Amino acid sequence: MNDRDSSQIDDNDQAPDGSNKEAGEAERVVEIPAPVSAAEPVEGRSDSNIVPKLLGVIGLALVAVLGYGSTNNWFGLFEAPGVESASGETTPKDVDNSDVENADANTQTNLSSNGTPSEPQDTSEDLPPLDPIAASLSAEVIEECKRVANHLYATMPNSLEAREMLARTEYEFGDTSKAEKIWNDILKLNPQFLYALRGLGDLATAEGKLTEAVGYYQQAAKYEPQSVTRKITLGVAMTQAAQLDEAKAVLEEALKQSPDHGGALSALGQILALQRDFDAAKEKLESALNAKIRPDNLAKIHLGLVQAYQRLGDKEKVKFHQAEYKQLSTGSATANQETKEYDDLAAIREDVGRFYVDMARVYLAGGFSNSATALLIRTSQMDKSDMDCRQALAFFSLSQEKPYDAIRWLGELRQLQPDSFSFPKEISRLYVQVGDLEKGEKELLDFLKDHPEHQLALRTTAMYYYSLVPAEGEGTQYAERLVKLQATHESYALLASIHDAAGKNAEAITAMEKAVELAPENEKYAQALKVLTGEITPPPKTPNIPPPPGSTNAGGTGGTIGNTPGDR
Amino acid sequence: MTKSPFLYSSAAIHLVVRRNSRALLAGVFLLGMWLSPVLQVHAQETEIRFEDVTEQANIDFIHRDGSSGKYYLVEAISGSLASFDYDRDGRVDLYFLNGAALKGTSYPQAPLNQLHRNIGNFQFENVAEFSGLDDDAFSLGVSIGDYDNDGFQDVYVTNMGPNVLFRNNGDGTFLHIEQKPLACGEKTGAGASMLDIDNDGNLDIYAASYMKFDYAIPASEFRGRLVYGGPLLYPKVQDDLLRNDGSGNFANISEAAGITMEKEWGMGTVCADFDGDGDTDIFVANDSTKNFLWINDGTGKFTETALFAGVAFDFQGDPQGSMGVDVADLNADGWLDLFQTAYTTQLATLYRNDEGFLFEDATRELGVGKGTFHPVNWGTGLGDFDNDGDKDVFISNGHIHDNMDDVNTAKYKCKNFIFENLAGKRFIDITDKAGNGTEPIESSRGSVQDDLDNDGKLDIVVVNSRLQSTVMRNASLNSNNWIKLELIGTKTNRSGIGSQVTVVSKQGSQLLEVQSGKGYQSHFGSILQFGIGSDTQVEAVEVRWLGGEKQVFENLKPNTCYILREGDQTPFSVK
Repeated sequence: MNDRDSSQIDDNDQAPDGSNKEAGEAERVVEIPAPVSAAEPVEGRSDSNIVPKLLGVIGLALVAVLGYGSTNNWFGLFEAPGVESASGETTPKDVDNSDVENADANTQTNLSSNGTPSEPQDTSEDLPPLDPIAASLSAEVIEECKRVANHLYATMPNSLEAREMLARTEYEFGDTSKAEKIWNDILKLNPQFLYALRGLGDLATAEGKLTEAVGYYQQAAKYEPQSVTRKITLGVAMTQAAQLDEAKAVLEEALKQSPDHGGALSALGQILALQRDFDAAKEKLESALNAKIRPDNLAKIHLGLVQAYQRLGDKEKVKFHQAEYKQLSTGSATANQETKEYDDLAAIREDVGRFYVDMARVYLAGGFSNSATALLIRTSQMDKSDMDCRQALAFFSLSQEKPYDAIRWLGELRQLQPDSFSFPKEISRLYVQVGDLEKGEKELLDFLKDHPEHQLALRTTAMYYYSLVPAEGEGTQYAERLVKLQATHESYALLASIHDAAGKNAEAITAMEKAVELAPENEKYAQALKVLTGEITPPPKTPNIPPPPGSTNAGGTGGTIGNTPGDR
Repeated sequence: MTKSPFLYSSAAIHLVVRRNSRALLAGVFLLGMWLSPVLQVHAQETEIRFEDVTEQANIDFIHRDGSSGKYYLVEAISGSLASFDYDRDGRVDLYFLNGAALKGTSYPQAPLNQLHRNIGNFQFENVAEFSGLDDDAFSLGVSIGDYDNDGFQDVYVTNMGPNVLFRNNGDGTFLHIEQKPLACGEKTGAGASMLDIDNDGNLDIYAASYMKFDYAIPASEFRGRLVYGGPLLYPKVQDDLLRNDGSGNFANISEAAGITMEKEWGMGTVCADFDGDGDTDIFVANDSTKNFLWINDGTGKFTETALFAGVAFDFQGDPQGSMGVDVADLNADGWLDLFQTAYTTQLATLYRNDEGFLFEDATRELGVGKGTFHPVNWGTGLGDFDNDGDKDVFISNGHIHDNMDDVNTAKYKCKNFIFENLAGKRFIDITDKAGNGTEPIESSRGSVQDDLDNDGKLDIVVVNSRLQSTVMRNASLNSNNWIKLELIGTKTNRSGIGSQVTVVSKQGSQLLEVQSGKGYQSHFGSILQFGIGSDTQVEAVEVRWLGGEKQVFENLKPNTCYILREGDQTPFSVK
C-alpha cells in the first residue's frame, strides 16, 4: 500500500460492493478487471495503478511475478516465476483467470491457462517494420506507428484486436473516417466489441455528434454492466447531449454499484444543479467531496457548491466553498505551466509507446512474442518513463530465464518509481537466485537508506538475513527497527526468530513474550515460548523456530511454531 | 397621449410594474406567445431565410491575418467588424478590421481597415481612404459610440499595439485622436465597449486585452505539425477602463475603478445593466479561463462577480475558450440574458439571468447550444430574424488550425449556425433550412447583424478569415411587423448607450438595451430592432434612460423606424 497513490483510483479498483480497497497489493491480483482489449484508449496512461488494466494478460501474469501479490511474503522473492510457492503465495497459476477468459472470448487472444503467452506459432516471424533507431521527428514516429499497425493487421487479419489497433491508430494519427469504417466493420463481426463501440463514441463526441455518441456509449455500458466508469462516461455524454433525465438515471445506477464514487456523485450533482434542484445538487456534491473514490477535480466541486449554496442562500457555506475553491484552483497556474512545457515529440512518443504496448499484447496473444518484444523495447527507447513496457520486458526476461535482463528492466522501473519497494525487492530476489548475494543485499540496503522507516523493506531485509545467514543475527537491527515502527505480534515473533537463530536465547524469549502478550490466543507463539524457555523440548533435528518457507538456510535451537511474517 | 383601452388594461400596467415585477411581463408575454400560432408553425419548418448576396454587395475587403506559416497566435484571432451609420444617411455602413503583415509576411499593399459605405440595394462603396479609417495596424476589436456627443458615431479600435480612437468629423471623415491613455500601451487588444460608467453623459471605454504578444514565443507543435499555441503561452495583461471627462480627454482609471483586481486573456465584451439597478455592468468573455462580470456600483467602481453569478465557468466548472458574447432577453422575463460562444468541444452557452444577480446555464434546457460542440465558435448575435417577437441566434464558426483537417476531427472551415427561438421555450437549429445564406463554408470569425436594406429585417455580415466576407440578406418568408428605434440622449450620452427599451404590443413586451461593442470583438445593433409578429400596433414603448429616468411613447406605428429623443415626447419617424 505504500507504493500506491490512493488518489489515482478508478472503478476497476473497487470491490464488488463498491468499496475502495486501497490496502493489500496482494489483493490487487484478484481485482484485475476483465481486460477485453489491451488498452483503455483514454485512461491508459502509464501510472502504475493501471498497469494491470493496460497490460491485460501480460499484466496479469506480471503483477504476480513482480510481487504485487506477494509483498506480504518475502519468500516469494526466492521462487521462480510460475512456480507455486511453499507458502502458497499467489503465483500466475493461482491468478483468477476468469478475466483472461473473458478477454479471450471477446478478442480472440491466444493464451495459455496461466495467463502467459503461448509458444510462438512461427519462430521465423516477420517482425514489425520498426526504424533501426527510434525516430527523432514527430512525423517519423507517427509514420512508424502506422506501419506497425498495418503490419499487425496483416499478420493477424482475423484478429479483431489487430483491426481495432489499426482503427485506433487511424483515429489518433491518421484518417478518422478510416477509423470509423474499421470500427464499424468490427461491429459487424462482433456487435459487442467494446473498444469499437467506445472508439465510435469518442469519435462521434469529437465530431460533435453528441446524440450518436450517447448511442455507442449506451451499448458499451450495456455490454460492460459491471463498469462504473462506462456509466459515468455515458452519463456525462448524455448530459452534454441535453438528455438530463436519462443521464441522471444512469448515474444513479452507477451509484448503486459504487455508492461512494466521487466522479459519479459530482456528475450527478452537476445535472441536478442544471435542473435547478439545488438541495439535491448540494447533497451530491458534498458527498462527492467526502467520497472514498475521490473525483478528479475537487476545486470544481467546491465551485458547484458555491453556486448551489448561493441559490440556497447559505452565505457562510458560499464563503467556505469559495475559499476552498480558490485554494485548490491554483491548478490553473499549473495548467499554464504544462501548456508551456508541452513537448509534441515527447507526447507522441508517449502515445505511440502506449499503442505499442497494446499492440505487443495483440502480437503476443497471436504467438508472435518476438514482435511483441521488439515493440516493447522500442517503447522503452521512446518513452523513458513508460512503466508498462518495462514491466512486460522484465516479465519476458523472467519467463525466458534471463535474470540479468530482468534485473536491467527492473532497475529502470526502480528508478522510475524510487519509492516503490516492489522493484528492489524483486531485483534482490533475482540476485540471490543467481547467487550474487552481495548485490541482493545491497539492493535492499540501498532502499532502506532512502526509506529507513519502510516497514515492508525492514521486514524483508530482516528476513533476508534470517533466511541466508541466520546465525550471524544481522537481521536483528532491522527487526528491532520494525518492532519500533510496528509493534505487532508478527514483528515480535520475527525478532524472536532472528534472536533464536543467532543463539540469543534471552532476547528471543523477551521478544516472544511480547508476541504472546499481544496475541495470547496464538498457540504457536505460546508453544514457541515454551520451547525457548526450555519448558518443552523441540523434536529432534527440527529447528526451534522453523525457517520461513522458501528460505535456504535457517538456524535456531529447535521448535515447531510457525511465527513467520508470512503467517499474517 | 392617446390611451387605448388595451394600453390601460395591460400595457400601461406593464410599464408601471416592470421594475418590480418583471415576472408579470414574462407571464403575459408567454401567454401571448402561447396563444399565437408561432409554436405550431415552427414545429418542423422555419420562415427564416437568408440569401447569400456577397456577390451583389461586391465588398472588396479581403481579410488578412499576417500569416506566413509561422503560426503566430494573433493571426488566428483576427477578423472583426462594425455595422453603424457613420454618415447619418439612414443606411447602416460596414467597417472591416484587418490584420497586418507579421514577421515573415509581406503583402504587395499593406492590408488596411476598410469602411464600406452603404449606397442602398446591398451595394457598398469603399470609402476607407477618404474617411481616414484606413488604418494599417493589426486591428482586433471595435466599438462604436458618440463619445463627444456631436451626433456622429465615433470609432474605437483595439490593435496589436496601440489602440486608436477615431473621431467622426461629421463630413465623412474621421480624425485619429492621439492621447496616450487611449492607446492602452502595447498590448494585443480584444473586444472593446463604450459605456457611461457613472452616467455623466460621456461615453467611457472598456478595452479588453488578449495578451502580451511576443514573437519570441514559438508556435506549438502538434502531431508533428506547427500549430497555433494557446493563449496561456503568453503573458496575460490588464484590461483598461478609460474615463471620458467630457472635454474629449480620456484618463485610464482602471485601478480606481477596481478592474485591476483581475486579469485574464480577454476576448469579446458586452456591457449591459445585468442586475437592473440602472447602471451599466461589464461582461468579458475570457479565453481558456474564467469570464468576468464586473458589477457597477453606479459610481463607476466595479466588483468582479462572475464566480458568484455563475458565468465564470460552464456548468461543470470548466473554463471555456470564450469568444464572442451578446445580450438579449431571450425568454421575455424582463432580464437580459447572456449568450457566449466557445472553443471546440465546448458548447456555446446561454446564461439565463435569474432576476439580476444569478445566472443559470440554460443551454441544454433550451437546446440553443446544440451542434456547437464541434466547431470553434466566434461571432454571435441575438436578433429577431423573423420578426416574430423573440430573439434568435446566429453563430459564426471556424477552427483556428488550418492544417489539421486530414488528421483530426478539427475542421478549419465550418458552417455557420442559425438557431430559431421558439417563444423562449426552445431553440432549434434551422441552419440547413434557412436558405443559401449559410452555404458559404469558410473559417468565419466576427459577425454583425443590422438592417442593411431598411426593410425591417436583420441582415448578417460575416468576416471570413483570409477571404472575402459573406453578406446575408434576410429574406424571411413572412410579413411580420416590426419597429426600429434609435435613441438620442440629451441628458444621458447621445448614443443612448446603456438605456433600455421595452416595447409592448399585443403579443407582450420585449426588452433591449443600446450597446456598444459586442459579438466577437465587433459592434452592431445601435438601432434597436423589435419584431412584433402580426400585431398591427405598438401599444407602448418605454425608454428607461441610463440612470433610471423613464419615458413612455404610445401608439407607434409598426414597420417604422423612430428616433426617440430624451425628454421629447414626440417620436420622430425616419423613412
